[in-house]
Amino acid sequence: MTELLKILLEQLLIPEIAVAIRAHYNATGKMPTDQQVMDALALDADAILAKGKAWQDAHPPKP
Amino acid sequence: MRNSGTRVFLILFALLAMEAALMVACPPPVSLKTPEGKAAFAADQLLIRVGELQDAAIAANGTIDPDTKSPVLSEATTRRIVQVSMIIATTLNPPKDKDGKIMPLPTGWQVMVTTAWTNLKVTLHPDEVKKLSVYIASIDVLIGALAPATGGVQ
Repeated sequence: MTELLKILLEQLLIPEIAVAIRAHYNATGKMPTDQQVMDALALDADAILAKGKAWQDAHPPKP
Repeated sequence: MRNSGTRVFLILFALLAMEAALMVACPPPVSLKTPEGKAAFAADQLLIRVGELQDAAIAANGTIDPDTKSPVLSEATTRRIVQVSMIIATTLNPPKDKDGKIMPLPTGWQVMVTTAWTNLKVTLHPDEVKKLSVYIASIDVLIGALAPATGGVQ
């Protein structure tokens, strides 16, 4: 019985809930669009470059 | 015996590492429709982990191990990690058009990132790899997953 419940949860209920959550976020615009992901990529890249540059400036190579 | 500052650092380090391990290889959201969007998502997941590695290396370099009286991670190793993180960030920084709109990544970024990462790993000492093993493993997984996530290495 427990196994059956587990299978039902894993195979039916959880995927259904996941689809419903995704549909909700899609409908409310909370899932990222392709352009938003590309914008986030640019921001994350800039943040790494800024942190790296700050560390390099604070730790110049020793001659 | 380790002082409380080092202990707190090591606990935070372990928590961040666990978080990094759990978040690895997250599938792209269903809202992404184009191969370029899915590629950007895969690239961003990788970039987030690279940023965590850079942060961890910088934090470890700024922490003195009371037993050895030297930084947990040497300055030379931190410098290599920062340099490669910046190379990867530059590679994954999407181009902008003349109006400033972010454009898709150019083809070939997977090969460039994989080469930079492989070159970094061969220069790391096994002891350093051990200190950063979870971060390195999570990046390894994401680099290994690049081809299926983006519909094939471009």
